[in-house]
Amino acid sequence: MNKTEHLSVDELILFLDRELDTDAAAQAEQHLLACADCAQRLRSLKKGSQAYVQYREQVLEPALQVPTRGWARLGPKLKTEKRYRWGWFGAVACACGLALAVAYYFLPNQPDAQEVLTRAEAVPEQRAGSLLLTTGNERLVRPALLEPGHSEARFQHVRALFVQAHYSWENPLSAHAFAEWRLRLARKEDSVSSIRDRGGRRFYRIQTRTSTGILQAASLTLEAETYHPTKADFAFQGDEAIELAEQTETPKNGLEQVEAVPPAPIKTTETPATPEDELRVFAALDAMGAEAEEPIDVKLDSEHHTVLVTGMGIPAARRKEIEIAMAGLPHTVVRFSAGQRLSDDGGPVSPRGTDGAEESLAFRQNLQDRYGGARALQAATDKALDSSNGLFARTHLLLLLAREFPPAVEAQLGPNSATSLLSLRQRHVGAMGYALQQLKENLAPLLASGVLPDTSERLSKSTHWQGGAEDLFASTRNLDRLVSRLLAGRFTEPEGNSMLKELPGDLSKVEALIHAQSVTDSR
Amino acid sequence: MIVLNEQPAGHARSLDAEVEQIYRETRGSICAYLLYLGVSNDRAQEVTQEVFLRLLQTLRKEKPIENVRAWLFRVAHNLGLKVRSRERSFRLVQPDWDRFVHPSHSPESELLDKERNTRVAAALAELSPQQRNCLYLRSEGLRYTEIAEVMGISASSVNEFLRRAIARLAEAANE
Repeated sequence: MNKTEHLSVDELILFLDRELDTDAAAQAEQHLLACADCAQRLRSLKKGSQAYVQYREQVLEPALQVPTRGWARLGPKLKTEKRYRWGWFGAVACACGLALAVAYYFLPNQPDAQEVLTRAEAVPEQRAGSLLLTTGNERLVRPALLEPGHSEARFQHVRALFVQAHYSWENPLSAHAFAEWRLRLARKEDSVSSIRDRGGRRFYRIQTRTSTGILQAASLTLEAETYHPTKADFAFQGDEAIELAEQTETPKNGLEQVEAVPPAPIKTTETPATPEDELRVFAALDAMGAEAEEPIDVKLDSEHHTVLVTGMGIPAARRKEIEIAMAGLPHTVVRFSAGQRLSDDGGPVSPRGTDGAEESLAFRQNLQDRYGGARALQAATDKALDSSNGLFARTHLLLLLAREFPPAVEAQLGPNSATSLLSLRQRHVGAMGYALQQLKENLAPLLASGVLPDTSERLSKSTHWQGGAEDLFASTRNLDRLVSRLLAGRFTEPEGNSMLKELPGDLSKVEALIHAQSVTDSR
Repeated sequence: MIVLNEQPAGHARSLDAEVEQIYRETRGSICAYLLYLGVSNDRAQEVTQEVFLRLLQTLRKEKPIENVRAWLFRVAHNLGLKVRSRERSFRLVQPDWDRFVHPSHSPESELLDKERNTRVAAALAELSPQQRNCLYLRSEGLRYTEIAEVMGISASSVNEFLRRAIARLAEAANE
């Protein structure tokens, strides 16, 4: 820039906008001090700039209505939002590697709970009408919105629970109420499911579980298109599960009791439940970290058009968690009963290894010698029984899948469901392989050569993985019984030696069947 | 990692606090810009949420953002244009004289300002959308390079657009 020449419009505007570098700005300033013409042009341009600013302030901005509803809470949400998705992934992957893969296969690009809630909160609320509150055998209707402080004797107990949990009783079926409650939780676990109703409408179901506070779990179901909340479920500590759902008709006089429901837990639906519904139940159980050893059964009940989830002898708190997890799933009925867990044959599970035979102290000593002492044998026994138990439980889960999804049913599944089924299978098979490896390591001192015999040629070749699952279940059950009896049972020395001879073959057979599962195509 | 231009050296704050502050300071501007682009009110709210969610996701992946404000406007610009193209029709923001509230109580001053604003509005109507966008973003405090980044054009193009726009506005203001 030559300070003796007039400044160009470009230079004047760059100077005005402070876009010139230091040297150029200094030269321009010097020139402007000396050149009245350029100074006048600068003032003129500045007027143009100021006119725009004034126009923007006085005319434009009032026309740019910036809505503020629901936004004030995004900041605190972002603040509390840690890298939860990955933390959750890590925790689950380390623990049992179950939930995320299922969620992933079911729900590609699935948003997380925070995202869904944030979007739901941004939608203008159109809550009106009334809510149907179901708890135990009672069904009650209340207005969707209540004035603060509104109290009604019939709801006194439920209201107290909500108040104690810091969950809005005034507007409980709302993303804001859920988000406010969730925000307060120091520790929480979220999951988001995508479900469809009978009409094909898609919903998000956010579930949050926490170990803090009286409200241990809650879920909110929202329409995926509009983020409109339609249903919420609550599991309060020591209380009946509570469900809130939209009700089309408004009660005339405030709160109104509709009816007492007779204790008929099975609800029939007009359209039959499908294998996809059943698969969703499996996935939901998987996503909530249901252990393989838990006595939960899932069955497609064609007579009642439902997916029936049953459990026996499950603790009350766990029952509620399961009820919450199942709450938003279509065609799903949950039924629990108290009592002893039954064995696979339908009879009570008997303690292992008490067959009354006189124990051979010599054989016991033989085992101790192989392991390097009584303490080492005991430690290896504990680990081996755990591994065997885990392996058997996993095999049982695979068998359930095989029975619920025989080839004909599997062939009818849509691509997403087929992928989900394959994912579940692969995860069970992977877990089996790991459990078997652990078992082999713990049994190594009992395997004379350390090399298992090749039994794969003697195995029946199943066309479908379902058939292989039956074989695998039977073989794993035999192996589990053998290991249990060998390490923790009572028997004579010849019996013990016989079992030692059987062990490599049984292990090899299970290993071959697991391998066959891992290479079987999904279709 | 967030690198804020205005961030004083050594003033380490948590990522959460940074994001919260950015949200507090910028959400109104982002939504207003979307409205200015012609995105409908409801969609502008959604897109604004989306912009901040994307910021959160990007930061979670530990991708560096050197200029958060410009980044937010760039994402808003791209999303806004995409959303607007899907809408059946859009209407650029027009002066709303009914909402005009003059800061002074002087009828003469108010009249003068109204006249000037009318001339500015007419001048703006003659500008290209890119010139208007450059003006708007400049009045948001973005530097030329930042405007260029937001709009996906060169800094020299920004310079050119602004030169013509301000020169035209100066004519209108000085009439």
